[in-house]
Amino acid sequence: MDLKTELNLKKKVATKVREKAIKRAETRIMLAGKTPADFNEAQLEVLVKEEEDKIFNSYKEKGLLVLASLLGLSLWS
Amino acid sequence: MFQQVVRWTFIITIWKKYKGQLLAIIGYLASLWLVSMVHDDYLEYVSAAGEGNQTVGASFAAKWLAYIVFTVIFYWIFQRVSKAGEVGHQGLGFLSKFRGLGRSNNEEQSGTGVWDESQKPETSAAQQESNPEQSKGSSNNDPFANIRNKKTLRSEADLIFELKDEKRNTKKGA
Repeated sequence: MDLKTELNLKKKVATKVREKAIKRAETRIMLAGKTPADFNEAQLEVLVKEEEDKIFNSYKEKGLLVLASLLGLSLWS
Repeated sequence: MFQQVVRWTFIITIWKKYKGQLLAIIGYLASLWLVSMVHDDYLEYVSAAGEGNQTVGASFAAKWLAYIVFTVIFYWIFQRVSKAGEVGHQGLGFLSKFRGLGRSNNEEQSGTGVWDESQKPETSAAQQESNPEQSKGSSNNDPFANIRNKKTLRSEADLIFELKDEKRNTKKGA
């Protein structure tokens, strides 16, 4: 991997999130008592997309919480 | 109070995630410190007793040899621990149990362990036409292989729109 790709943080984050979403989708499929082979690619894509959106939303929420804590807005005390 | 909770959550998370690596680093630093202490003690003994001056040079060589050996061992252990962590959830036993469970459930439902053609959901025609080889190859090994390489994924709504567009195009063509 060249240095430019190595330093491409946006792509790195996207890849990590995609991997996480795939793992979550896989777990969800297994908990439903099925295997990924039972679904076609379009369905798997929708599943992964849902999980990816959830992950991005959770990151945004966490980011807001961190920002609030940095600004000294205590929500619990 | 909240600060304490955040602090402990952070520490526990880091510890749980990097336990192996942290233990390896602590062990490595402790062994280096021990070697250094033993060597210092030996030098002190030599200077106090005034004997064994010929072996001082050899003691330095032994010390650096020990450092190198510990570094190699540390590197090996660190690599092994990191690789074990990378295997992640695929190596977890409970997921393989679920995998087996899923198959047995399907066997009960269809009698064959795989979906019947009538039960199996339809793949979008455009998708099959666009990359038939890719989809064949991926289904044999990793069903997520194509999804991994896509830049953006389509949601359910996008797929519905695509299907509608396809239908419209086929009507126009006819």
